[in-house]
Amino acid sequence: MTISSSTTSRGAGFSSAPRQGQRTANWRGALSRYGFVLPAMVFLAIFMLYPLLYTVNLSLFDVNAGNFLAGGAPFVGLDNYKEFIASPGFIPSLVVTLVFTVGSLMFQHAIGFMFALFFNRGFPLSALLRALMLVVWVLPAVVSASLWRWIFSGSYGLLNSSLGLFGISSSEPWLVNPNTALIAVIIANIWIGIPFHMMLIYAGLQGVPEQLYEAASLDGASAWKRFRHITVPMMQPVIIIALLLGFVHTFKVFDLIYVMTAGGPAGATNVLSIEVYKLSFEYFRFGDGAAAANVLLLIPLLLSALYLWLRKREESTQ
Amino acid sequence: MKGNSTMSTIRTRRVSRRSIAILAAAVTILGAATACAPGGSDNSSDESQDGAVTLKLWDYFGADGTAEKQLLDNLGAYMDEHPDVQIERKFIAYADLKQSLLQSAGAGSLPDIVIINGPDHQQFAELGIAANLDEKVAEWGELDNYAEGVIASAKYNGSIYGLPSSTNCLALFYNKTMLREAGIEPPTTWKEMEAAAAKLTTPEHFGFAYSAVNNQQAVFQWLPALWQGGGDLYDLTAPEAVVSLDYWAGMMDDGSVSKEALNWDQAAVAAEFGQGRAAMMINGPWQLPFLANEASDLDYGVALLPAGEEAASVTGGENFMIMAGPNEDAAWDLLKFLQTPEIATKSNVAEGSLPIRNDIDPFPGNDKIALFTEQLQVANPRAYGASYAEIADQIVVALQSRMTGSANSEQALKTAADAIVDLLPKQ
Repeated sequence: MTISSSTTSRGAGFSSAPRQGQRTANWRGALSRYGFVLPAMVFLAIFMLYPLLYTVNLSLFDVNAGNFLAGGAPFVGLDNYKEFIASPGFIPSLVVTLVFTVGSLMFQHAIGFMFALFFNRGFPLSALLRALMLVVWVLPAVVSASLWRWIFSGSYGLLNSSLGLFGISSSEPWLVNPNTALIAVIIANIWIGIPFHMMLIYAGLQGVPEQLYEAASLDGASAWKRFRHITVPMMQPVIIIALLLGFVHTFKVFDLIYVMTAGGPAGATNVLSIEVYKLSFEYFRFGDGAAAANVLLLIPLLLSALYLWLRKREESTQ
Repeated sequence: MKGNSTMSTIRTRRVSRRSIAILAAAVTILGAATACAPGGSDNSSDESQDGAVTLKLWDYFGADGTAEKQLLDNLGAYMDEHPDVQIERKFIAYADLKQSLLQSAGAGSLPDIVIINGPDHQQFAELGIAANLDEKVAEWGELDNYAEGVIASAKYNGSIYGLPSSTNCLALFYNKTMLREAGIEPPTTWKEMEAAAAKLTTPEHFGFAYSAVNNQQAVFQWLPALWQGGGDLYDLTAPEAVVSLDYWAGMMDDGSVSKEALNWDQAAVAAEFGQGRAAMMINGPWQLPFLANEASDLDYGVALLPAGEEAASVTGGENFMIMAGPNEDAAWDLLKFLQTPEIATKSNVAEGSLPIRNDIDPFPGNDKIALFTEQLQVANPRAYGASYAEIADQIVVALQSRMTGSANSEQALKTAADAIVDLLPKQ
């Protein structure tokens, strides 16, 4: 935290420096500073703020196929939200989404953490292997999803034929059984998410001072104790960021599930994002779809706000 | 030295942490944008001063298939006759077509003519972006050559919004070799069907195959059974509906139908049948070109669907839909060309379609097509209004709940009935 105070004092020193024509310089400085920010602001406004506000606006009207293009949709206030939350599909869909998100995240993070610790040891070819692992993350979701669809297929699936090698004869179609379909898509998503967590944690591990470990070793701390009392506390901010980011983009996963199961069987993998897609683009109920999208947005947004608030409180107490 | 480098890495980490937080916010906001439909804007005209027209046509005919080849031939023939017309044909995957049309409508850059799946047609008529063809069709005066069932899906609120590209219905395909070995004839009743499916199931192949995939195709395949049992979507809690679902899913309970049917679309069902992994399947005539190409050695026949209380099948097919816009007249002229008996015959052959017009005979002497034409006499359209896509999704949930054992037929259909009651058109 010495860093943050030094940053502040440097900034303060700069602005309070006594100089001739200070006001003009400041004004010019401000102009150039805003000039640098402007392109980003314009980008955000057009591609993020506008769609966001448009969706909020859309969600307050009963927009459907009949009046989407013609106009004249009646204002219904929060009715779309009430209707969506009260619909029989909402709670099951929310539960599926949460199970999917938390289930994916736990394993993605734990396994990613282990890989990061492993790569942090810096063995020959570790940089190459690390880069190769990223391929999984870069692969288009449709490709990964098709791959996993095939792995979990019943008659020709790789999983079943692998089980056969161990003498377990199985023709279970994993994606068709409602008890295993959700687990199957979670496993696929864990596989996709591991490199992301690995890279974040790996980058964080680079910043943990080596002397701490040396000192702890001299004091006779075991490997587990060094991990528990040095790595984890030092890494805490990175862990939280990784989990938060992971939550946000796992909560709205669409393509992977849409390709693997399209929400089936019988709604077993029907996450909120699929519900949103169906409302807007299959049923043409745009008002309802927009309200559902905002509900989908709200949960990660609340979590992000909570995190920022915690950070602020933490910083102000130090 | 060591200390300094540690400081700088910690600082780097702090900066990257902040930028990560900003990224988090950005990613969150992007989530909202996914459901955002584009706003409207002005229409652009492709017509230039000298009368030359560029027509945009969208379809989802798979690459290198016979249907695509024939379509391109037809468009080429039209352009040869009309040097002032340029046709830009674009392939859009079936799953993306509705969304692409919506987006292009919002952006004011709609195509001029689209080949669309029958049950999706009414939705676009309701949206107001499909052109009303009442006047043009009246002036044309050839509508009498079309059977009512063939053009039903192109009609909305008594007006006509397109003309058929292909028409079909479902019937029973059977592997002659397998049936001969088992010593049975193609089944004609539900009882015979259940017995045949069970008897034809061996370690090498299943007795029967249908699609129960998580989209409209599963409903398309089950609807005949619902009607055969005397039921209808309007009354899913009736015993007739329950019995028909028990019949349909029961063959999966017995192991006569693979559980993988829940992941098979109709093309996958045809592939199973073509590769000899199913002795019978329910499918349509558009699979005939596929089977001829991919399973030329297969000795198979087509029979009428087994009857329950009554005989029934379902009609399907694609329509040409003209989009409202400045090129309506030019698109209509192209459509009239595509509907001439000569061109329609060629297209029907390539698509494995039953004759769209009464005055053509695309498959003279073909007994399989003759059987489908006979089946067509008891086939009903899916005339369940503009919300059919949503209704069908609810029915799929019922089918899959029953097939996976998470609900019995009664519960599954009750849930679906409650969900669709407000979506069905008022009778």
